[in-house]
Amino acid sequence: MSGARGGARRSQAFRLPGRHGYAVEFSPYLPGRLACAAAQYYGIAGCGTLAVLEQNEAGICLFRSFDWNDGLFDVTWSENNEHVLVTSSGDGALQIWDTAKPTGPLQVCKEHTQEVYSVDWSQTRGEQLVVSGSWDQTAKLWDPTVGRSLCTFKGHEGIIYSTIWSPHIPGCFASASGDQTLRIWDVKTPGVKVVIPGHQAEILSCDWCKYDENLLVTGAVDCSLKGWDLRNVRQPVFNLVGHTYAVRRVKFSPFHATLLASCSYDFTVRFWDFSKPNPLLETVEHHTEFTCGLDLSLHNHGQVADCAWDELVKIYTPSCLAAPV
Amino acid sequence: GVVPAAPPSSAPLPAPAPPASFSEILRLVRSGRDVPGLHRPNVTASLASPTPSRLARRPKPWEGARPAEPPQPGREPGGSGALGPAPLTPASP
Repeated sequence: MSGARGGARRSQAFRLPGRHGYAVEFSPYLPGRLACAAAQYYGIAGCGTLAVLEQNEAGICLFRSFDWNDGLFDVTWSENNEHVLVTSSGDGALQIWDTAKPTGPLQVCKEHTQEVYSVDWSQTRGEQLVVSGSWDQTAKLWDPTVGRSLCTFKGHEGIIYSTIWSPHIPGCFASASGDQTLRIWDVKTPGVKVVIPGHQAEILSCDWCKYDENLLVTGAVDCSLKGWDLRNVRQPVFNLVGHTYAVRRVKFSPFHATLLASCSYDFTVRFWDFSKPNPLLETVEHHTEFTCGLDLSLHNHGQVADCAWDELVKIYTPSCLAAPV
Repeated sequence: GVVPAAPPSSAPLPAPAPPASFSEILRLVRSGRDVPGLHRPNVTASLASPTPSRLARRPKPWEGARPAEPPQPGREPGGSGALGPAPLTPASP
């Protein structure tokens, strides 16, 4: 299929009955493995479920699922153990899971005083660190082998929706907040390094360019994605419009410097190339509810996973990413 | 097992107001009433050690490539990091 609207190739789906998907992440070790963090009742009430899925040519099956006492809002895989992953939940806790141990989490770390909307495992080679972001307006740094946080980062004046490690700068992470700022932090100092008043609306997501260590993207309730160069934060380097409701998650391509993906409360997933005069490459409309989770495979070029409140996880290769550049 | 999903509808999407059941659940919770079918497991940590890893870390697609400037008109060359020793003055929100 070709064309700008809806034409995803080889789309596969998996339904999580009674669960609303909040986040998906491909395993950095195993090409067909995908984790999905989900909540019962839209995350308002009830439990959460971590679903570990296995995808191949034949379809998607459930490898293992784990329940938690409250809704799960984010998931991140370990970068030093193929069995291990971390989730964050509505009761203010992080859970460390082992896919080879079905009986329950290895560890529970409860320090945040409100929902933890974001958790991320460091991407740089020399560190094994986890950062969490919470509605309590703080971010916390964790060593996954230690049950207590190493540091708490204060400064945001609103809910933190996203905390993401730089893939290039060791010990550096970005946070996106309801206070309308994108902030850059260094684990060596508790105070913020850079504050970017990025939008005149809540910023729900951020991500780092994998090929330019100074470039980030934010996605906000104003329906836009904006690019930010840390060397000059006074104005965005790009502004991508097209979504008709809040942008819920943004991800830079693992393979291309100028390609991005975003998902939205407008139910769509969109793919962009900010180096082009018409940057919107493709719009995929295959959900019937808020689309919250999004990830791009590190192994299978062009493969995308997403999840939405319609109980569906989808894995597909959009036409615009299908041909290697 | 695999539960195949129905093919996506080609009908135009309505305005995405929260679905009726979302509002109902919110109303029930806020009024302190029980939500039917609520599942509240009592899960605790096992404190077990993780299963030993047997796989080597795979390099990321961007590793080995220099963090070079992507092609973009009007940008000055140079790859120095922006996070110098002096933090920028925080802007008021």
